Amino acid sequence: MRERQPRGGPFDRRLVRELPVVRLALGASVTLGLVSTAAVVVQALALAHLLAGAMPGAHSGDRAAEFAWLGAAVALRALAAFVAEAVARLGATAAKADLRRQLLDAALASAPTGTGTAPGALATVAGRGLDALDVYLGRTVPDLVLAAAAPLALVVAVGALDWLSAVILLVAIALFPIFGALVGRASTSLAAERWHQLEALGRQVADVFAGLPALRALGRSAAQRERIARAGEALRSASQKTLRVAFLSALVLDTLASVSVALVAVPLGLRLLDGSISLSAALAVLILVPEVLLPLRRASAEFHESTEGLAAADAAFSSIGAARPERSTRAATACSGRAATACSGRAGRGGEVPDPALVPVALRELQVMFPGRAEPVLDDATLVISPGETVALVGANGVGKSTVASLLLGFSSPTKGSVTAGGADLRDLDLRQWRRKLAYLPERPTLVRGTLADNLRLAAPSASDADLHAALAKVGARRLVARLPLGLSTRLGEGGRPTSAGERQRVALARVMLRPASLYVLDEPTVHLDREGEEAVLEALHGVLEGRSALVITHRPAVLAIADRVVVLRGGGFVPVLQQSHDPRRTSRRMPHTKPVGDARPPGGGVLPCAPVPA
Amino acid sequence: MRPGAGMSSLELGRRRLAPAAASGALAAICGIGLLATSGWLIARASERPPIFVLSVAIGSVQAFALGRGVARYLERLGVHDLSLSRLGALRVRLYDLLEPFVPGGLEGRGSGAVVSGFVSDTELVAEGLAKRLGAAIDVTASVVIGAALACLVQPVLGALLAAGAGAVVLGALGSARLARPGAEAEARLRAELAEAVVDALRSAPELVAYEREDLLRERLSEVRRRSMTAARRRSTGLGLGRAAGTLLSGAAMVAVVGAGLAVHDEGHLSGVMLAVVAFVALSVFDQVAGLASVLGDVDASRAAARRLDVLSAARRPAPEPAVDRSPATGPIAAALCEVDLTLGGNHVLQGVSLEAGSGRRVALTGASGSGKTTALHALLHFVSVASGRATLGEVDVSEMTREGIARHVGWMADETHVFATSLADNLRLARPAASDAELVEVLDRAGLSSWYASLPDGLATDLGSGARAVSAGERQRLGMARALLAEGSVLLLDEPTAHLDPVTAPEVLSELLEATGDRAVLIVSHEPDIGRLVDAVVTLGDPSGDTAGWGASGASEIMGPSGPSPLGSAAKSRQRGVEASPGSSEVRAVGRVDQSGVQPCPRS
Repeated sequence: MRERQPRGGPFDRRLVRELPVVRLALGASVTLGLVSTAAVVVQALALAHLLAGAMPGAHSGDRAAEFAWLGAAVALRALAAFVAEAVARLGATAAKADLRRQLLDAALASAPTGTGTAPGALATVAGRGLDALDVYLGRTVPDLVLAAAAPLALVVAVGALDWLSAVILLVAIALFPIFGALVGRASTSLAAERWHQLEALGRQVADVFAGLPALRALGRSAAQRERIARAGEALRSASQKTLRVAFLSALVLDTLASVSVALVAVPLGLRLLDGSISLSAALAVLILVPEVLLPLRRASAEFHESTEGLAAADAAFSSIGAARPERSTRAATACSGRAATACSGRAGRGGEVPDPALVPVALRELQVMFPGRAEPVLDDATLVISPGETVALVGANGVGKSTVASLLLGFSSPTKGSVTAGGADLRDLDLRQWRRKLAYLPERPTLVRGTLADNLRLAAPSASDADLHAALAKVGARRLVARLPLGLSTRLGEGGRPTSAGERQRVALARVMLRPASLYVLDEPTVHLDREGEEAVLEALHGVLEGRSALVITHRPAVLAIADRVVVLRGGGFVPVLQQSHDPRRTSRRMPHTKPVGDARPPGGGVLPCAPVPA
Repeated sequence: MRPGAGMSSLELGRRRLAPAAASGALAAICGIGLLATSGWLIARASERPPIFVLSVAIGSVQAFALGRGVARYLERLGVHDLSLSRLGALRVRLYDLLEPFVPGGLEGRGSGAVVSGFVSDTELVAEGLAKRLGAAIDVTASVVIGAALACLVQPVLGALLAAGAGAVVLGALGSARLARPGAEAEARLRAELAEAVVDALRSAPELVAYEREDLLRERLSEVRRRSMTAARRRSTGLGLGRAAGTLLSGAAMVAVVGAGLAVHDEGHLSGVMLAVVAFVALSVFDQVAGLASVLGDVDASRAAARRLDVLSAARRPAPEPAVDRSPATGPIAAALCEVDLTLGGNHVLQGVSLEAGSGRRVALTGASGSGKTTALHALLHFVSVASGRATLGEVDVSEMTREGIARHVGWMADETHVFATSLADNLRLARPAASDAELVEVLDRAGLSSWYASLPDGLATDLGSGARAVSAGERQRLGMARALLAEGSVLLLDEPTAHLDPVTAPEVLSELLEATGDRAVLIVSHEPDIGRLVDAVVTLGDPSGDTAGWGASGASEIMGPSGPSPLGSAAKSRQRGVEASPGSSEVRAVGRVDQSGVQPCPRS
């Protein structure tokens, strides 16, 4: 129902430039369109001869031959139509698949940095968004290209029969885009304001739907039903006014098309009176006239519909552009995904990758800017994690805590400042080797498709089954394995679908604890766990982190108990917290391992493998 | 209305259909008339009659040419008017349909995305209607008028023309059906792809950290490959549709001309009239042959209509009674008594009992998925209990209407929706009669006084213009303000501090709970210190704490064969409650047997 004029023409050149399959499919479509046009000419001539032969006094000719021509032309047109449609649609699908692959590759490369398009938005661009290309590439673009070629080919055919009709049609063809553009421009500016009204009305409707739960609870849903009805009626009448203007261009072009039939037919009739043209030629011209302007009429209708396809192409290309890692003068700013291979090329330069359990890891005078945000996320922020130290990082949502994790993992680099390990800048290190010394628990851990054991071994490929069982016991998931039909070999769905958020968190925790790392970067380790689960996990974590360095991002005060130091991220900088004043209970809960271990154990026992650490 | 009917079917008002159909018929008359008259003009002119014989035809050709564009224009407007009024009706109907299902009734996916998906489905259905209706009018009008004209000339030719057109229509419908499974598979794969994309992007950091980037692309490329197969099937169907349209209409054209020549040879048809019939047929078949591509376009709208039909056939999670039996206004208690509740086949609550009396604050805690939000929804009668009772002032909520429940209960959802209207209107939803002073006061109590002071137009500030973006924390506090303003004596708060940082959250929470006065408060919270702020803590989920969060329902663990005894569970909860809330006077535990002494269920 939207009929906006595409800005800057109906083509996106990037589609042809970047996607070879589009060139191929377009070429095939246009060739087949011209073949079909030739068949139309044959069909018109055969039909005209048959009809002319039936006139009194006319020589009826070889009817069988004419019918054979007619049949052959129809068959050829049908074949061309089949191939053209299939090729165009398949071409569109292939182009879509290609674009989707480019889009996802680029997005995956930038995904760990957290700077790319949001996953939901990207899924929309890659899914529903690109589907708009189906119609655009499958029909709109071939029709538009054919509209440039077929009418001229037909005019040549008409010219061979009668030059005067050809001239009239040429004038009509020339007027077509001129009229279209004039009326289109006038109606666009008239309609532009109305579209805003329509969008506002549409938003009103969406707003009521989005707030429906609240309205129900407040007993006001019946009253708001009226608002939907009113907005719908307002939308209808506003749309009608808009469409009255928007359809004007179609009115002008339709009229031009039918008037040119009349303008050709009447002179043909008058010239037949004085015998200056043969009947069969005149009939053939008349049959061909509607065909001449048909591609143009179709194209003008498609022209409006190209907006959606253009928007889809543009969204895809700009997502690809945004996701492509930028190159800075010093090094690639994003070293991940495929780009990681390029980054590892500098492996030799920094020499041996330092062990973060033995040397301090320092974030110095960091400044991090996000695209589209004026304020830096981190500004002149400095934090040093000493060897063997566990630092807890707290702060409000959206303050940039996860960005710090991303910097430590080398997913992204600071705009200013540096991340160093024992004095070596991360940008000079082989990031793959660096990450091998790290264990990472993201804010939203994932389970990949595969068995429970596969999922656990992601982080520690050489772990034995006994190691896996021990790690699961540490996070209080012993009973899970007992309950699963195939134990460790049970397959878990993508996204961990058969499991709950709490289960997923525990598997991820077990995974991270299995990893023999020197620096642990844990983003909200105890989220989704209840209080007792949290205590058991913290106790186990405390054991694992002994002698290793760690940065633990958290919202939960209980987690602070296992930290040597607490830092708040606020206003772009790290602010140390005096431990005693922050949490008065801290002293009493300082050592979770001093509590009797059995307290957190499920009934029936089960030995937690982490031995109590001497206080 | 019968379930399943209405959303996808063409329910059209005759009053609105008439203008569209009439102008469509006029357009068909002009279109056919233009070619037929031109054909007559040329054929007759070849017989060299006096020029005045042709003058009427010349005039008609010009009139038809001009009339056709105007008639088409009017038809387009009529069809769109119809589809837009249908869209309005569909939205109201969708509102009625969705109302009982939000929140939480849409197979557990009551999210805003699902709702907005349904809203755009109504647009697709209306758009599909415009396309199908336009095509139906054009095809019907030109076939009827063309066949009638041909009949006037020679009945046999009229019948042949109608039969040929029928064959073309059947061919178009058949090939559309051929393409449909492919299109449907593509739609399914599109959803799968969206999921795969989100999964891949979310898991990217972890898998890159573990050097397993290969796993990211594996599933994506598999979905892509299957999409290609489906697309091939759809493309073949569409191609066959166009080919069938061209072939059948061409063959019908040949048949009409062949039959016309035969009749002509028998002397029953003049050469001029044969030409007229041929041009009528050309015009009709030209119109009909385009049907296949229109039918190929409306797949998306069919799929949308089907989604809406599924929704309209779904069982309502909590039917509303006709008569409101809600108790008189005044202090009342909210209670769940031995409640079992199932959502989408999962046992979410089992044997849950709890009570919040006037002036008492009860916290509801437990792992994610243990049914805390669902317990609140049961009290709001958003969902029905499978067994047991959810009561307000000892009246079962299933015997209360929405308005009745709203009179007694204020609710703060886990996500607050801020309506695109003024601040005052947003708040007055909870109490339309509230004075400006009351609104300002409640903003203050929700901790929004400095935010309010910063607003350009005070209470009249438009919160939907985008100029005044409301942050997640502010939105949550607005939800608090709304809940505090609601008149009910029961307050249900769903994670009121979820979007606040751990330093400010406890402060806000204690201020909020102070502001609740003598209301009965049930609060879902993950705050570890919640026990200090409330009179009682109820923990949902597996009492052992070890496997909380495993399985579809934590609560089901109580009933499981491996679960500990109810006694153990109560003892554990008591111990936990005391540890978390030294100030609390009593602890209510969850289980089949309530061990804490106070019994919310009336003894029978």
